[in-house]
Amino acid sequence: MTTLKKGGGRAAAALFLAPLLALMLSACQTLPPPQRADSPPRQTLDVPFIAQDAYQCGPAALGMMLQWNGLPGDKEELVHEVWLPERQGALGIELKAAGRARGLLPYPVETPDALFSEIQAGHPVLVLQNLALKRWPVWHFAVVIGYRDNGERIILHSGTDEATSSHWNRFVRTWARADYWGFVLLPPGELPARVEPEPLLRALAPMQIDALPHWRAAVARFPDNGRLRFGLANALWAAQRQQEALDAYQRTVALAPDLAPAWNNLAYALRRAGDDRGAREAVCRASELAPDSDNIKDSVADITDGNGC
Amino acid sequence: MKKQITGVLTAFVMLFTQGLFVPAAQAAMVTTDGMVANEQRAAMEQKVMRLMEQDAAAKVLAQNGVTPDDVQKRLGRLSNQELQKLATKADQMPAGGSVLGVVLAVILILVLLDLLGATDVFPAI
Repeated sequence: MTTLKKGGGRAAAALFLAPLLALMLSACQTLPPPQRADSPPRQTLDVPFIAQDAYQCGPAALGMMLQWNGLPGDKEELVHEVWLPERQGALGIELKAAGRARGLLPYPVETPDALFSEIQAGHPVLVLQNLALKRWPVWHFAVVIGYRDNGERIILHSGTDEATSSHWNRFVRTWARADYWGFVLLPPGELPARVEPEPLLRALAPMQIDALPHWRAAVARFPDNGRLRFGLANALWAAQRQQEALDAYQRTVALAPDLAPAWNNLAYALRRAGDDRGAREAVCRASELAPDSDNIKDSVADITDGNGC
Repeated sequence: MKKQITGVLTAFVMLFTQGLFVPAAQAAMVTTDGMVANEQRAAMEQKVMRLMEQDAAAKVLAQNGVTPDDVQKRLGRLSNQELQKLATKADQMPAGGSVLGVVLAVILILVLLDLLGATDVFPAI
């Protein structure tokens, strides 16, 4: 009797457990790699490997990106630059800033599709992963250098592992838990495979060193975008190429007639070229567009010798 | 409780540092970075002000004799970093968030901006 009862209990338990199990399984269903990973079905980039020391995956990952760009990527030096001892880690924005300080373009790669596009274009991608739970995160930086089996496996330089491979499904979960944070680091003249004007503007705007070739490439890619043209004009001006800058400001206001900062800067470029009347007209146009801007108010006073518009 | 203390501390720090961040305007070329920063700042201010437009928020403001214009003026005095924190607070409100959530967020922002008149101990403002 007892055995029968037990058996019945087991059957009942199985009856309960089966749907529960099915529910749990469906909750962790596999995420397929994007379609674009089918052609080519595999790709591996030649990226120098730097093994990390304790916790220092940030400097190591950055070092690999720099060496791929043909720059020195000495891990020890980078540790001083980007590693925050009290946090036992590096900050993502520090890694981007360190690349930018070397004249490289850091551009965000924040979707699986974009990740494969960049690898296919030959660009390694530095990614942030959360290897633990959303609530108790364990952050890790790694460099995606390729994939195989139609994207079912992803190939990374990660920690102390050179060209280690990970199931796409497993990798993408750790990446998703880090809000798909990642970026490519590109030399002057080279643009990401997937690029949009506004993120490009934001990526280039803080660049202080060697920005000009990047702006030229950006404008060549988006010739009708007035805001990028403005960035080029400013970079030309900063490089003391005043005539070219003047031309670029004029192109900018033609492309983006509502961009007050462009009229403001055009005014200064015109004044430098000796066209005081043109300068006054330009700065007054800026003032009409942005009457509340303190900077432009001061520019009006400056350019019109205090007479106003 | 801990959060309250942190909040009050944050308010202290922010109020005492506010004076340091009033940007000196100068006539000059606008850099690309400056343009982007200005636009981002305007977007953040808009985020906070949109919260103030909600019915529940308008009531809190009226009860405390504060106009949206006062809020806007105070926002203009914050550093970018400080404003970012406020905008994040305004952002954390779920779309069509609960009335209580809006009220609490607005009160917090008013406290941080020292607009409730309860914190006259800060003569700097």
